[in-house]
Amino acid sequence: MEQDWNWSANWVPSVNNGVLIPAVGQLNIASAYTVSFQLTQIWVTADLPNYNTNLLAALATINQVDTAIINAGGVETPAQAAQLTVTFGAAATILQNNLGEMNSALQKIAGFLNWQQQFIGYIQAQATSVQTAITTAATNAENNLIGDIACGDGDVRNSFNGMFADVAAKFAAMQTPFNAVNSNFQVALNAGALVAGVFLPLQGDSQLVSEYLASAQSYAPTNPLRQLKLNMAGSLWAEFVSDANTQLGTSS
Amino acid sequence: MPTKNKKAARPGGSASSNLTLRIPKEMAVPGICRGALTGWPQLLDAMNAVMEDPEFLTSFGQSFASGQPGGPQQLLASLGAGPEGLMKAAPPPDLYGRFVWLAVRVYQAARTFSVTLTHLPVIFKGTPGQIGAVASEVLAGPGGLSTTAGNVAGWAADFLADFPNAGADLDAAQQAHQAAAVALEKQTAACEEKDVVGSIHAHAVATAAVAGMSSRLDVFEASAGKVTAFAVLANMTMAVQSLALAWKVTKEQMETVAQSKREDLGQLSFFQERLGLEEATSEWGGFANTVKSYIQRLLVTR
Repeated sequence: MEQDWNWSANWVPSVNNGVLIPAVGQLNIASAYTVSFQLTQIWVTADLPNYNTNLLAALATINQVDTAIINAGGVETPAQAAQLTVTFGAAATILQNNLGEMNSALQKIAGFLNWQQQFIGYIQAQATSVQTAITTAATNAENNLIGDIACGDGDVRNSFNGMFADVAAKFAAMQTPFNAVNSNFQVALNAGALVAGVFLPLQGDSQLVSEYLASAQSYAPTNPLRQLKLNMAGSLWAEFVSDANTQLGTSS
Repeated sequence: MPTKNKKAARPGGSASSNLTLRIPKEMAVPGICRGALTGWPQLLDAMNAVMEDPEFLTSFGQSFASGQPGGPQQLLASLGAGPEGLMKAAPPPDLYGRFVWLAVRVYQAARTFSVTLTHLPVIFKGTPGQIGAVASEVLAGPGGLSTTAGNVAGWAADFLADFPNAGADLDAAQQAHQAAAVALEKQTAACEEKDVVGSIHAHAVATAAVAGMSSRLDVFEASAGKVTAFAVLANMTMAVQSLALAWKVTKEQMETVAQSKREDLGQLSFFQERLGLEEATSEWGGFANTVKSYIQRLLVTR
């Protein structure tokens, strides 16, 4: 007696909407990257100009007072000494605040990049997982059907084998665009890592400017080494500001 | 007194060439970075390939103090937790973090040489004797350029002291790889010999021989990975050795210059014409920029 059998499944909506489209979306990090970069933008565009203005003013004050002391034959009044102490202290605080803000910006970007690293190869892994799940579910259905029908299991097997081949071909066809998405994701992460890398020499510069200023303060205003250290601090600070603007500013 | 016809001393030539501010030949751009610049991508690939190998990890652990290779991703994670990590006086414990920490110190030292020499003319106020004393302090006084150079040489030496077996590890890995190659060759010959014998027993023997070849191929591939990893690590060690030597030479140069007559050190022309101030300023600035560009790429993971 002829026995009809029928079995159908449509994985497209669940696979696409439930797994693969969200997986591709996970790799679109443009908006998340923008969020992680916000502290950097605030620091470079809004606050660094103020730090720069205030530090340059402090350095100018120190130079003016030093010049007055030198012109007075090296004699320092108590008021001048107090002003120098306050101004050197203010300069150190400006540098410390600037460094703190810069470090927070680096922390945000580094944390973001570190978190995203886990998603390299994510979409391929998801596709493999989904394909395995489909094969397992279909194999179970196939075996149940073979058990249910009295004969003609060869027909069932042929039909399912055709379907397995179709599923395999479709997943194979998706590999190339998935690889491209993953590759672009990697490129985006590398670009982010280059941005984070810009902070490392900036940290080094900031540390040096603080050291030069502390060294300058340790010499008397009449000692040429004081002027040398102040000039070193001023020029390295200018380079720091220039690098931050050109490499991290929104126009870069 | 120097004359205008005298040429600035060339770096790294005869013993008397120590009387110069110019960058020593041991640190010629881009030489000091060559090993590290070309080595890290290879190192990371090779280490990723062999990190699952317990034998490699044991060898690495015995060779490097912390036993932690680290890498850009670990450094990113570390900066995400504590962004000031590379600014601390003590380096991170892992090999990669420690190398980057050292690279930042090299950058800072090179930058200090660059900005010091750029602004050196500002000290030329007063009598030659007074200026000479100040110049001597800039060169070899407390916190002077010789101290800066000596610090980097010391940090590089500390790095090497904690990683003393790179060469020995490479030798051992090469010997193991050669042994694996010989074993694979013998097994290949055995397989070819068995293939021509037409019996069921011979077929079983040949099957076992092929299985043996597969096993030896795995050993061969693993040993090749270790050779690559240890070769790149040895290359990096040599780069740090060059670094230690270059900064030691720089320290000695500054001390030699500082021992010049105070009257000479009190003359800007002595710095310009005898010590190569202009060339030195340019060279140290260029070197600092090279190291800066190098450091900026050290967080890229692959």
